[in-house]
Amino acid sequence: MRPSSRELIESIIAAIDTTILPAIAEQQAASSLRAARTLLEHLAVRVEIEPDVLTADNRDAAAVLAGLGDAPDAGEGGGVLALRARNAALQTAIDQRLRAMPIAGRESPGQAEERRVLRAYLERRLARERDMIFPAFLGTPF
Amino acid sequence: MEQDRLQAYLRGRMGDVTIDRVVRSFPGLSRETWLVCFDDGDGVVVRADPPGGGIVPTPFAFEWQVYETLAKTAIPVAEPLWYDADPDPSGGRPLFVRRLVEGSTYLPGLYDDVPGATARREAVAREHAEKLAMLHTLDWRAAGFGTFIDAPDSPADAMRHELETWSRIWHAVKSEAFPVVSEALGWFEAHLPATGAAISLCKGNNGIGEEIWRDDRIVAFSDWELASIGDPCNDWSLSQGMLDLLDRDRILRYYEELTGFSLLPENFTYYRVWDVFKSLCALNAGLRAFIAGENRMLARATLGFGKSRVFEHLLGRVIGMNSLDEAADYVVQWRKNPYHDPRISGA
Repeated sequence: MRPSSRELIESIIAAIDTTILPAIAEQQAASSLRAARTLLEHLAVRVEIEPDVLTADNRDAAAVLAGLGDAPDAGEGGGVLALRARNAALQTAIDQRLRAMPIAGRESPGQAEERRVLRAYLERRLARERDMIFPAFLGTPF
Repeated sequence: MEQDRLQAYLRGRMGDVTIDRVVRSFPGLSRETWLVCFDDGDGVVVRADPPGGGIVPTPFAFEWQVYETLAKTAIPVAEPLWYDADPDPSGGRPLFVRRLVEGSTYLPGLYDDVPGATARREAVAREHAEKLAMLHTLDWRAAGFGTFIDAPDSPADAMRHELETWSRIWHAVKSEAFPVVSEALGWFEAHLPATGAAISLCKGNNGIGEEIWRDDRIVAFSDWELASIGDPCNDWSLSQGMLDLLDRDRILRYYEELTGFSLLPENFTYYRVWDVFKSLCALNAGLRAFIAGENRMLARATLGFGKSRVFEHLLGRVIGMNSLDEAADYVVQWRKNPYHDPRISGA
């Protein structure tokens, strides 16, 4: 279907920049519009890549946890809402493992290895979602 | 806030006052702040808890208590008038009222490249250092702050106390699991400096965009929701670009002469990195009301979700670094004070 969601959102951003924002003098209204523009910039990317990012991240997180002895539900499919719910559960499991560990430098060799594995996963996760965050949220927040 | 209801309410408290105009302070994101001017030239500021509660995860009544206690000291603050837990004009959301102080949170033209600009920026930087020195040397125990703010036992304990306090807050208010942040909290614990310069009453966010300025002087410190007792380096890390106005070392030397403290470079560096986590925590806390549908102000999403994610990415890099200096240099390049954007400040 054309125009794509991204093309439509980008056209709204262009209208805000060229036509709407310059015409708004009231401070709170202009601020709300700048925030809306920032969120649209994020959504333009998110609508296209979020399902793939979540699918890849769920697989990765589930494999990492399985390698550490957990038996997480990686699941597949079910739409973006199901993917998000699964991702939240996996993040909670990863988080619990990290919170249970001593601080770096005070771990046993086994814990140090677990930390290495989890940190490597976190790096991959951040890299995956990076395009949804940057540069959109480096812009004006309000 | 409807002017008629506000007028009736204020008359019930203050007698025969007539509102000339009511202006909502901009941006007023953390808590609603209304500037109320009377026809006789006086005025009040009405600060109200927003729908769903404030962004910063500290109780609304705590800020009032700070104002009330400060008003009995020499620290410049607006005169606090009353606290109301169930007022009509804000639909039952708590508010407190303080006397309006003439001035502005911004300093128009401060960053313009015009003749005399350097001297002006130096004067502003020194003024800020003087007022911070006054705050940080206040005898907070004698003033009564120890009765309602949990204080560290010693300067050496100050940063651990701060870490533990804000870790507890984080786990109570975060919008979802953030494994990177959990790991970052471990990194902060592993890099805790060994001692501190002093234990002071600290304001939290301070500087331009926060205080009431008039003729380039701070006439009232404002917005005390992040007040704490701890290492004064913490306030310098939250000073909103004040250290960029002039040679940083000169400003800090001047402050040290005034206070008699020696700020420890390591602590200073530590707090610059720590501020990334603390900002993330405070902003993300405001997202709870957005997700719950109690407050759908768009800035709650751009800050509580968007900026929080940016800060999460910064912390994701920090946890791989072994040096505090390296981490501080890295985060500083990504931190930008939105109040310095002329589209926001209008300055």
